[in-house]
Amino acid sequence: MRALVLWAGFALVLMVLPLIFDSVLGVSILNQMAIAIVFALSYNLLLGQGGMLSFGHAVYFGLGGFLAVHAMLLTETQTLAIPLVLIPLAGGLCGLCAALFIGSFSTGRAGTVFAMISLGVGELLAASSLILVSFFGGESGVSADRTFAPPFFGVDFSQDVQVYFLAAAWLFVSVLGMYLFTRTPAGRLANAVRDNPERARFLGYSAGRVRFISFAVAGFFAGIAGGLFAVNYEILTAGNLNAASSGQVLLMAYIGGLGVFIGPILGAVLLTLINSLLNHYTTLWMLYLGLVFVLTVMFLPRGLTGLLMLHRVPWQQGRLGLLVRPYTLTAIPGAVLVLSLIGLLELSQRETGPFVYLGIPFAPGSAVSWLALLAVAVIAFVALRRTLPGLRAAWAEASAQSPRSMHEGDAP
Amino acid sequence: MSVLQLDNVSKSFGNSAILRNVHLRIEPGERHAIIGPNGAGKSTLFHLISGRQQVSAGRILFKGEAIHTLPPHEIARRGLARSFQVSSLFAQLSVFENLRCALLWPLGYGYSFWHLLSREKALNARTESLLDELGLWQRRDVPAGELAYAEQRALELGLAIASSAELILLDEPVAGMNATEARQALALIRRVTAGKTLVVVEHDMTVVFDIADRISVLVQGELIASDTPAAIRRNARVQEAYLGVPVPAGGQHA
Ligand SMILES: Nc1ncnc2c1ncn2[C@@H]1O[C@H](COP(=O)(O)OP(=O)(O)O)[C@@H](O)[C@H]1O
Ligand SMILES: [Mg+2]
Repeated sequence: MRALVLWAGFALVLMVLPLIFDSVLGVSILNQMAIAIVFALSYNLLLGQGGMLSFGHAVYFGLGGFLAVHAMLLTETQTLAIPLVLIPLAGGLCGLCAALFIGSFSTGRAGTVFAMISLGVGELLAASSLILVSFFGGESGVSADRTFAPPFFGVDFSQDVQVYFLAAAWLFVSVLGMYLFTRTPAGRLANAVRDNPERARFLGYSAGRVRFISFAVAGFFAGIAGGLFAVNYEILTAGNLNAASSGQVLLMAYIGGLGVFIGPILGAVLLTLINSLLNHYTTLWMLYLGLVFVLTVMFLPRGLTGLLMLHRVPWQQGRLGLLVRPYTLTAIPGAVLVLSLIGLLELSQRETGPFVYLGIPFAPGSAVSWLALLAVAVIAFVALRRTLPGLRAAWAEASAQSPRSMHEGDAP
Repeated sequence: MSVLQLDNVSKSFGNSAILRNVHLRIEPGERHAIIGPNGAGKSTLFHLISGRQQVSAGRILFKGEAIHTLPPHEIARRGLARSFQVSSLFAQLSVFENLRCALLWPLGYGYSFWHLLSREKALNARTESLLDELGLWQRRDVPAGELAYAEQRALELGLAIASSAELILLDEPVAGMNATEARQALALIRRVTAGKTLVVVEHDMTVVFDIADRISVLVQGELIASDTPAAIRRNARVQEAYLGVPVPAGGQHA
């Protein structure tokens, strides 16, 4: 019953979002998010749920996408009239077939062997995508026009909002599908094999077969995401299945948190925002993304959702209030430190001319600009060092309880 | 027909022979203990039977069929379950999920992705009764990796007995438990293995003579005797090789 309410709420949010963010940019970002969420969740079936570190998951996204574009082209040339709403499914089936083939030899072992094969297959495909021009379209990729598809109950998908509802429907179905998969025997066994493949064998299960099933399901949903990409952008290029795309989805899942089902959703939303907003303001956004990733790996091994989950114990005990003051006290110097460091980075890569940052004009050639930012950074750093112990102490107090549950109480 | 039959089984790692020409027969319903000093090769013997390691020579028959060439999961499916001397659990899964995973194959779920676990009433009821029997009811939602030592041992035992396999191999199931825990675990082992065949490696002699109706003695890779407890007590070679030296109290063995 509670689950039903949650899913209904999720559907409602999906329907209301385009009414709130109704600008062209807003809808375009929502579409990107829908695609990214499906892709990131499918990746987490491998890494978080199944313990398979893949460096080539974009292969299934890309292949699904390319097939979807070709399916749209079939409609365009009036060979076969495929309704646009079914195009993502075509992508999914293509991702599934590719995963069945590649999984058949790559899932026997997890760990380094699996990771290396995934990397190799990814490189192989990225290279052949520039050679097999008839399918991949070479440097310029392949494009199609989605509006040739037969109208769906009068909707011709000429506007982005119409595409949003198509994407949202597939997002809902995919999230539900993947969630349910994690609750089946095959899904639970994937966790068991992740934790201890050897023991799973003595319980009657071939670890390789368990991984293979997760791998196929992940390929299917990655293909759906690729199909949604094809519908949304009407073009796919070699860049969609290369290592950079595979890296992006890894970042989304990891930063969001691998341990909780909704972790990758959070990561996908956040990184889509960073990608599409930040690159309007700075050319350094890839650097910031990398920094966020490194910091997450170092300090938040369970990602952002892991950090949120840490607050469960204080919350259950009604001691969340204890944290408000120390959090605020740490957040202020923390934010100042981050902002001044960003200022320094941005300043360092401007060549000439004044550079207005947070409403203040800075000049790359002037020592005053540099020293001022540096001084602010140092002061903020010192202040942060002084407020952190207070936060740690507050954490200890807020999450202290019977010694049995101490595992929840690690300070972030 | 014997449930388990080892013919001339040998195992060596590189140049060192760990097991030499082991012959062993275990009859249906038997409670068989394997004793022997540290490093005698008892765990290795279990690894060979369960398919974790390959025999160097000889053959192993389970219910009359050769199993020494099969992978572990196929041996397990034929009805052979085992526990490990060092607990081998699914660390991030809860106690409940650990036990449920052990029941999936025996209850015929295979690799199903069309059943929802929460809907499977019989499966969940059996998992819960197992939890109860193991004394882990209170800890059902705790990740296995966070259990105390004795609780991990109980869960380890649970994973082995969950499937109600015909042949159960237990590698030092009560080592490291205190007297009360060991007594409870033994009562449990006796209860859940009733009507099944049990092979247990154990160090504590009182436990061994209490639980077993046959005992095999392994010394430096050789099976020097396999007989009833009374006969083993009288056996001169055994006394010389093993019982003569002070037997460590159960619990010290690593
Ligand atoms: N993988 C291995 N490689 C080499 N030697 C091993 C290996 N496994 C066990 N041994 C050796 O085999 C002998 C028997 O080990 P084991 O079967 O664990 O003894 P037990 O269980 O009787 O204490 C020991 O001397 C041990 O060092
Ligand atoms: Mg041993």
